[in-house]
Amino acid sequence: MSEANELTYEQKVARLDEILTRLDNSETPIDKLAEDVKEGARLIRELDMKLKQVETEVLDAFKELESE
Amino acid sequence: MERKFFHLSAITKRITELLEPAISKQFWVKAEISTGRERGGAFYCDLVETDAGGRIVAKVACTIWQNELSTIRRAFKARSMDLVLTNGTVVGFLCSLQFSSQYGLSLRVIDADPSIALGEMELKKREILECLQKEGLFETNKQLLVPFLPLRLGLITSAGSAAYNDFIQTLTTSGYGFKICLADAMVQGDQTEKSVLRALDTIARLDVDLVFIVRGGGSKTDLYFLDNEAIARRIASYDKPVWTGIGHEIDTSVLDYVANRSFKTPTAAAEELVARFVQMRRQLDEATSTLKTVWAYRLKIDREYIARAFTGIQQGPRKLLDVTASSLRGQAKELRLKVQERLATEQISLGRRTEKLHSQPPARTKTLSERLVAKRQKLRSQANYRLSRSRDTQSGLKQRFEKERFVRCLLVESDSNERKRHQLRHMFISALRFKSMELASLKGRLKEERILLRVTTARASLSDKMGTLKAIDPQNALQRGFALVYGANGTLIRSIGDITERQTITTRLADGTLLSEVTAKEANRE
Repeated sequence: MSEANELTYEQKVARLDEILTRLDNSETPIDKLAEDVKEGARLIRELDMKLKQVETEVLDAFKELESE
Repeated sequence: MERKFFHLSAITKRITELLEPAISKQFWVKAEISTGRERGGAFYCDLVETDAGGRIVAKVACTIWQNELSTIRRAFKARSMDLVLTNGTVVGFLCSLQFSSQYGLSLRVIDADPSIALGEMELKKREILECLQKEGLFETNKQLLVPFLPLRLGLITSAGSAAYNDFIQTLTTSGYGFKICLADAMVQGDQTEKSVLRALDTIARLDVDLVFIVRGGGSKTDLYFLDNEAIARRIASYDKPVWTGIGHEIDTSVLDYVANRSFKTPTAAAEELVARFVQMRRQLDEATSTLKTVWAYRLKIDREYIARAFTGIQQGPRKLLDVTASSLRGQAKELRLKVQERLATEQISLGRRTEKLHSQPPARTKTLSERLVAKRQKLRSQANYRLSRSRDTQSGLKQRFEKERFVRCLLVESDSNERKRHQLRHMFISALRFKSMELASLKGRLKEERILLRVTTARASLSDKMGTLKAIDPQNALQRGFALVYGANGTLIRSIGDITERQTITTRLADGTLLSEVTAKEANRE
């Protein structure tokens, strides 16, 4: 699922932070607002999915650990 | 002489008789066992004494009968020792002589001194240890790296022995999956050295992490078999770490010195191994627990972050749009205010200008026309004055009037006269135009005579005006006694300020010029 140039979780968080900070400080150019919001929403969706996926994997790993 | 032959038995009988007093005696002998063998419950050997060169200097056959043998062994056991009767062992025996007709002279052992055996063993052990230590062989196996969790083990012991069982049981009950390669070996008795060396060689070829040499507790003399120099050297040069678990309480075996680690019992050796796994298990459990905690914390943080980001991305743009819209409204308001302000300013300014525009031209026209009227009046009055003054001499003047002179004088009178002439000419032209226009309009209405009359009148008027012009001719003024004064450079002097003292001036009169020098200046008192 990951492309070669896919951002890592941390990079995505950094990108989202950037967008949110710009929003907070009202620095987002209005022309870019919709684009930023779309990107932010996409990042959140991806981060959430990633987190859920990692959680599943981690819980499975713990389960395996306990079943040994 | 007849020889007397005795029966051999007579000889032995005689020897028996001779030895009789000695046979009842008991004495302690210290010697080395040679060619020893046990048969039918009894032990047979030679006791030998060697010199420094190893040459046998004394040798006597020796027997320990079954009875004595078991008694001595019991006594040794009581001191936790074994009676060692291997060849080369130095022993201390309580003996008596015995002589058999069949087997000859021999020593019969009644008792043995355990301290001799021990002393000899200790001596030998010390020699081995000193030698190994000098060669640095204590350390070589210790320097080998033992994996922290060795699972593949080589085991050298006597299979089925108590030591073997203890060792295996400790490992088995631990529950960890050890893989044990057993090399069965004799760990006591004459075959010990050969057997253990062979076991070491076998295990050297196997893929094991760690090798154990274990044997159970036994007598002090049992230990002797493992105080073996050859085995010790082999361990020192071994490429795998060797742990020993040789059961003994206070003493240490030579192997313990050269081993990587030594333990007092096989069980202790196995327990150390198991302890490592238990410790690792505990560490892993702790790490697992930490990992879970840390993971849960991290998950919580990230979830919260995403929730916050979600809120931010939902509310942020709306907020930003609100802020932007509000800012735009503010700017629009400001713009409207500024425009209004500017318009008001411009209106006021325009009003002022309009007012000024309204008021100025008429005022100016008025001023100009007033000035014009004033000048005209002044001119007229001057002209009239001069006309009246010059009427007397008009005829004379007329004669003298020359056009060339008039022109020259006009040139001299550059400034005011020129301007006045222009004005006059202009006025004349205007008047002429006016008149000609009048004439043109009247032309149709008037008869030729009237026109001619009018022309004549006009000519007369013109002539009058010419007369007026002539009246203002400076030459006339000169004739009247006025003079024109010029400076050195030919400029007309109009004020005493135009000239300094000692300067030469030219005074022009009607009929000539005077050159004079200014001696003093005096301003008019007014």
